[in-house]
Amino acid sequence: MFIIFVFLFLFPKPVKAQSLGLGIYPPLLEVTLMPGKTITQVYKLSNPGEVDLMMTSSIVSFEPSDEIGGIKLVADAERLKPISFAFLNADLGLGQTFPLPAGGIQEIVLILKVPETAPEKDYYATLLFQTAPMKGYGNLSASQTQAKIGGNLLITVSRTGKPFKKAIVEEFRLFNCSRICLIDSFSQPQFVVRVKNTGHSYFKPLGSIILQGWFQQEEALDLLPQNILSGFSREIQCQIDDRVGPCQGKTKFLIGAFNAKLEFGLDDFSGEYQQEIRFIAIPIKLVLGLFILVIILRLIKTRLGLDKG
Amino acid sequence: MKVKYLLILIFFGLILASPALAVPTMSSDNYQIDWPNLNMGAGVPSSDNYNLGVTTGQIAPGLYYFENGYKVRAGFQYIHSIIPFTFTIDKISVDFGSLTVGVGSTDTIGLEVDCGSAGGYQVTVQENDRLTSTAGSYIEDTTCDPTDTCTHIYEGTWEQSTTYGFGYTMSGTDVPSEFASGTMFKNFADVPGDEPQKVMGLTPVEGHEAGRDKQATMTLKVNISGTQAAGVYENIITFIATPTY
Repeated sequence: MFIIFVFLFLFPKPVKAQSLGLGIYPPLLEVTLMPGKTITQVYKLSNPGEVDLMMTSSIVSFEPSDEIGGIKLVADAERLKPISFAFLNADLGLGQTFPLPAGGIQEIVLILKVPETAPEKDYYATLLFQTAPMKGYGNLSASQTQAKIGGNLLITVSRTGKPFKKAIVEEFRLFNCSRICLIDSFSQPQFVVRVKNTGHSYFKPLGSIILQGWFQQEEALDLLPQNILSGFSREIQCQIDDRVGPCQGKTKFLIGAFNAKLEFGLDDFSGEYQQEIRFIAIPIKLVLGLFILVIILRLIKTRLGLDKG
Repeated sequence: MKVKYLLILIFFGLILASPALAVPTMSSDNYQIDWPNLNMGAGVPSSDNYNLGVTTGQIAPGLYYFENGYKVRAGFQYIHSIIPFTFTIDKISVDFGSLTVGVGSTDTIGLEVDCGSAGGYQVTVQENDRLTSTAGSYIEDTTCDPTDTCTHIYEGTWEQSTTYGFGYTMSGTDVPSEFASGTMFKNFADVPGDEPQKVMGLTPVEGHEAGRDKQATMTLKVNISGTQAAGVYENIITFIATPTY
């Protein structure tokens, strides 16, 4: 028994497969505030992993990396000036190292201060928390893993609460079609919508694409209210019933000339921005199929006639 | 007569008095309260082991299910059940063991994400440096097979035993489509010059669906040549998980 005790407790085998985890809430903060004002926001940083962590924090700027929602962190402190960020926690400051035990949660009160002279525009930031890399066990070649997790902040500075918002519809067309569009009656039209934000503040496009046809056919595709950041473009998706996806009609059969009208407002349903396209739906595949069938039948008929003759 | 005048006065007072309004929003110079509620009692009763959040006076709080698959969580307390954004790596260290010339050593890192927002997320990766020994020797980042080279941005095949270096491939949920075949590798973006590269994550355009337990696997591969200096080689791989906007 004594030998077992010695080997179990004095020479323990290191546990290698330990997980490292981070959680953050809220993942996205949208705030509008006046110059000269200050706000606070409580963040919850959690460690759902199996190891105790040492954390550090930072605030970095971000910008869209593409038109579909990806982001790129930009380590340029000038972009967020003159807004100042700090933690209100008594025992924790922004940039300081702190422990986060396995299974633990740390509440952090972030304070944003906007000077009176701050330009009225948007500031896009990410509150980033990162782990200190830990040494693995043994003297073998290895890669240590490190995790960073961020929560994004969309900050609008405005005296009036109504910052200047403006948009351009960069693209509104049928997928795989740019000019005169002919689609098969049995295909469901899919639309490409790209909107550029030319104003000073981000907005969500609220509106829909209305399809109208000859025979009183009508269908509405609601735009997904995704944030479009100032100075950037975004491809807009739609929400249809309980799913999010491309702006694609549901009607199984279309015939004749159709009008598709894109109509949306910036953070409202004013319908201020409108654009229309037209397309024609013809049962192309059906007609082609019938045509080929007729030709085949005629060939068979001709052949039969020759054989008889 | 006096009673009559008094009654008339009361009557006109009632007609002309401002109606009582349930003000939908309350605001000040610094704040606007969007969810006002006239409470009969509130607070955070607590003990040594528990905190209890209580809000009373709400109309029709509760969890409601609908046939089309929607759930409505009505009431202030349901704010606690919103899925936070979490990211887990299943290892703090990836050990390649003793490296053998011409024999690729591989190991995996499991990634798991919970993302409750409809906007999507991304996990990007970079390395602090090439695999480096204490003596200062490097194992270079792989450029994949000569017939189909790779970089930290573009994928390539890595099947030949004479292709050396360090790289990775991805498999699982929400990984970039270039890894779908399972045979394509990339090397790691290097700090500080290279942009971290996405290894996991979708946006609505790409088909993101909110949910928990999204799992992917990164397979790391190291292959050394006969001229590689002996030593213990190490580096740090950093994963950056962020929601979209």
